[in-house]
Parts: sequence; C-alpha cells; structure tokens
Amino acid sequence: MTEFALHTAPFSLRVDNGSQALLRAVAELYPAALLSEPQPERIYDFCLTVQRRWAGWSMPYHVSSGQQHFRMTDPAQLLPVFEWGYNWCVASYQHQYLAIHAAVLERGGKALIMPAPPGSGKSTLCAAMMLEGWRLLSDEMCLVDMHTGAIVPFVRPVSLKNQSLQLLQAWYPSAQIRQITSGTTKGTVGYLLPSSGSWQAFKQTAAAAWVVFPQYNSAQQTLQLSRISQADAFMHLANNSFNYAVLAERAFSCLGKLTQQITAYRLEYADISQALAELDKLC
Amino acid sequence: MDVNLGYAAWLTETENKNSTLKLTFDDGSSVLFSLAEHTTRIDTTADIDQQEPYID
Repeated sequence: MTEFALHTAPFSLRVDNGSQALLRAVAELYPAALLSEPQPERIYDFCLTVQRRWAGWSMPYHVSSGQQHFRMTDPAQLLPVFEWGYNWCVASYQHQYLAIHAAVLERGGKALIMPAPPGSGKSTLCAAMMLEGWRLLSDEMCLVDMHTGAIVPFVRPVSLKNQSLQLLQAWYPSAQIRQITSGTTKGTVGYLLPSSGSWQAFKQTAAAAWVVFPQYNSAQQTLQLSRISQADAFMHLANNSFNYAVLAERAFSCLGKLTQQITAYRLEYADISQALAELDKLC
Repeated sequence: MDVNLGYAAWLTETENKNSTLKLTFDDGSSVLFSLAEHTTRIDTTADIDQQEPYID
C-alpha cells in the first residue's frame, strides 16, 4: 500500500501513489502525525496521482491532478516533482485565500512577508531566519484569510537549491537538510526541515506587520534597506499573487487592508549576516 | 441627434465614476482598481499591467 494522505494545514492532500520510494521520502520530510492512509469517505482539498506510465525509459512516472498533466519524471526526482506538484495544486486551484508568492516568518505574533521572484535569495534568507529562531509559516506561499486578513501558515519543508544548500550547511552545520536531489530542472534541490516550534504552531495565524522585498546582489558594497510607499508595496504584492486576477475586487479590498497595516522595505544585500542583523533591528 | 449624443456622453461619465475603486493609504499613496477591466494601477503613474507570477 503506497497511497497516502498528507494533512498539512490549511490543506490536505491525497496522493494516489505508486512509488514506495516517494512514500519513504515524504515520511522523512513530514511529521508522522501528518501522514495517514487515505480515508474513502473523506474529502481532500487536492489529489495528486503519481503512477508509472509508458513514456520512454528515462521518465516513467506521471504526476497529475485529475485530468491535468503536471510532469513526467524519473524515479530519482520523484520527491522534488511531488513537492512542486503540491505547490502547483495550491497555486492553481485554491481561491479561498489570497495567495502570494512569498516567504512568511513570525515573531511575537507579527508576520514578516518576503515576496520575491526566484533567484532573489528569498528561501536562503528565510531558512537562515528560521534557524535564528523565527517561526516559519511558509517559504513559498503567503496565504491571506479573505475575511480576517490574518496570515495563515502553510508549513512545509524549505526548498533550497544549488549554492544555497552549501551555504546553509556551512553556516548552520546542525541544520537538518534532507533528500538532496541533483540533476533536476532547477539543479540540485534539498529540503530543510521546519523547526519544531514551526511544526507545533502549524495552525497558528499571525498578523501582517512588515513586507520586505529582498534582493541578493553579490556586487552590493553595503546593505541597503529603503522604505517604499504603501501603493508600491501593494502593486508588488499583487504582481506576486497567484490568484489576484481571479479574485478581482475581493483581492483588491483584502490586499488593501493588509497593505494598510504594514510597513514596506526593499532590501539589497550581499552578506546574509548583515541582512539578518538589519531585519533583527527592524522587526 | 444632438440629444442622443449628449445622453451617451453622460452614460460614459457615470460608468467611469462608478467602475473604479480607490484605496488611499496612511502614507498618502493610493491605488485604483477598474471594475470594468479588472486592472490595478497606482493613481499617480501610468498604467501598470498585472502579470501572473512565475510558478512551478
């Protein structure tokens, strides 16, 4: 029996899975309490199918949701493709929350939101902040409750890529990085386990307080942290949202309320220890 | 004919007034949302098109 259900909050996922290796890998990343056999009478938020299909020798596994194709993959890359597939389900199909492509961390009940495109150093900074004691809400998806404006956690392992993996391991030798896979479409990928405090509070919401747009730049001489207007922050948040266009005026109103309660900054840095110190002073 | 044109112009103006939402923040900056076109922009600059972000 290799099918399983994953009870992350606020979503649950049923996986019609044909790979014993994938089940073992997922069990290494998520607490045992969040994994179970699927219950026939239960309705899950999403369903992913991971099954062998004939598509040549190199990529025999097909990952899909319902009739929607996601990706073909070889057995060695099943875990990262599964994680990306789960992200794809949430980004594509849920419109209960306003979803923004951003890392979210919490301290003292207040949330710091870091939206950024791939390559900006967002996940590396997020991982380092969690290892410095911040509570992780998500490294990928900021979910905003459309009714209350609260930031809803979506705790998952932090995806680290290529140089980030080596840097994090060098800075934090005790960091629990698992399932390192090389040769993926994004290069080498590994997963940092969330801190125990992050898992324990995996349903505890936080109030948005700061938005920081980070940009790693190795040529940056000195760290620059500059305040930006709330309207600029609003536009950047909307542009980084997965479903702003779908939710239309509801998203406009929800994002407006969120923007009203935050202060926003642009952070350009080359040295992550300086960035951590600056964020520590700011928040 | 002149009467008809005038009426059409009045309709357009009313539609414009009613189809744009405006949010003004504490720092004085503001954003506009067109209900007709579903576009968002900062009200002091040229239109900025919304784009879906890169996802995987």
